[in-house]
Amino acid sequence: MNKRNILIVDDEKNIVMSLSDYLEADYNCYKAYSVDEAIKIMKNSPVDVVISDVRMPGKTGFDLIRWLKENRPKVKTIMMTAYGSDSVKRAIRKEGAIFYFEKPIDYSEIRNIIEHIFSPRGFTADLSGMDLIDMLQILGFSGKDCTVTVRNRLGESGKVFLKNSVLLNAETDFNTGLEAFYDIIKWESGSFSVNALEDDINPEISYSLEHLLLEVSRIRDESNREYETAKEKAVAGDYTEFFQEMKDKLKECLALYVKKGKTGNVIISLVDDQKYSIENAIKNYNPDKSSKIKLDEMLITLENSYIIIQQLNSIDVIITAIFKKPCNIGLKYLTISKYKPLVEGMIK
Amino acid sequence: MSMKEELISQIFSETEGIIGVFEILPSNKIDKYRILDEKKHKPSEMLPFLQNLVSETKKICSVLKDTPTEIIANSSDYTFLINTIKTDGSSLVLMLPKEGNIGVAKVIAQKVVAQCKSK
Repeated sequence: MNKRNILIVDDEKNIVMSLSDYLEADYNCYKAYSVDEAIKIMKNSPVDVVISDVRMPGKTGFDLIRWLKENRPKVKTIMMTAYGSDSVKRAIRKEGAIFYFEKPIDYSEIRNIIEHIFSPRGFTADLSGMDLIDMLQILGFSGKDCTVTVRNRLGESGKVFLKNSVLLNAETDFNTGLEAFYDIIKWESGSFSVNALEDDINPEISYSLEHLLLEVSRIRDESNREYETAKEKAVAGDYTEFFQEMKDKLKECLALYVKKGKTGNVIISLVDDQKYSIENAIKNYNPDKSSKIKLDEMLITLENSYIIIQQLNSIDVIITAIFKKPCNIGLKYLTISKYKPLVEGMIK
Repeated sequence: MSMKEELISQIFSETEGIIGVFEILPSNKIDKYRILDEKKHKPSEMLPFLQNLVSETKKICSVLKDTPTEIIANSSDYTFLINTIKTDGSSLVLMLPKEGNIGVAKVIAQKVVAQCKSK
């Protein structure tokens, strides 16, 4: 079988050479050290995928994408950048790259993406180290009609339905439509599979996927700003204000407790409904600290409520939050996990 | 009703990725267990950890007067999925590596709980 053709573009020669060495057993690799050189190669040789650096002297990776869009629209583009800020990522997506990697590059991930590009079949992949938005972008650019099933690390699942680069609908156990789509996007780890588009999908959304993914990037930027504000409060060491904000952010949180140390000193107790006042039980909660196995986090599903327990072993602190069912517990779990480093920084 | 040993064998033969199965009785005694690699995952460490985990969790739930149906616990190396078998109050624990597929484990646990109910 004929090998597919890949063009690697970077002004750093060692990256071009090493990536080419890694891929050339399976693909024909062309090498270019500038955008002009890359365009010259593409004018004379068939290329299926371009892997390009963003910042190069003279013309940039963005110039190359624009040239490809006009002259070789079927060529797929993977970008590499050492400057992985949200604004750069957004710009890369806006220009139309199907995937980006931050340097230093994990070559095996690049190989996985290339294999996906050339594979017509459904597939399953692990989300760790991979951004779901990027995978959706690949599927959007390919114009593939498919159902993406995403499962988060608590085993909850959601589905995203794509047809011809348009998001038709999304669903989780709790929501459908746009709300479900935004919920799924927030699941930062887990696994997903891509299969044929299911029949009889109600096109509840019908928005351009590209437009929605840009909106997601904006929301993520806003969320990062909120996190920075919380960080400032944490640095200031104001326990009550910080945890009250955390509880507000969690929404639907009936009670939030923070216990420090073996002695059972509950330093924060924020309770909306006295029915969920379990301060004494939290005081007496005593996980085995002598065990070599250290518990990090726990989700207890009860008949009428959920309890999330997060242990910060490094500072001997336990955060406990209670939520009334039904609610999107996967998101609550992720939000508390996100705040853990701030709590560690504040209390240690 | 105690969970049968054949169910444990069945879990191992049918499921990739599960590295340990335990049954914890309401008395907190671990009645039956099987660990795929006992040299690597030592029962002397696993069993006391799980007994403590289940008993401490029960304490909190009893104050809420609410019945636990499922617990997912993560340590630095493992994920534990604990399901209560309502008919006898015992707990079925499936042990996975930290990055194991919890979705598959949930399906297995639900099947086992259903089988225990029907026996």
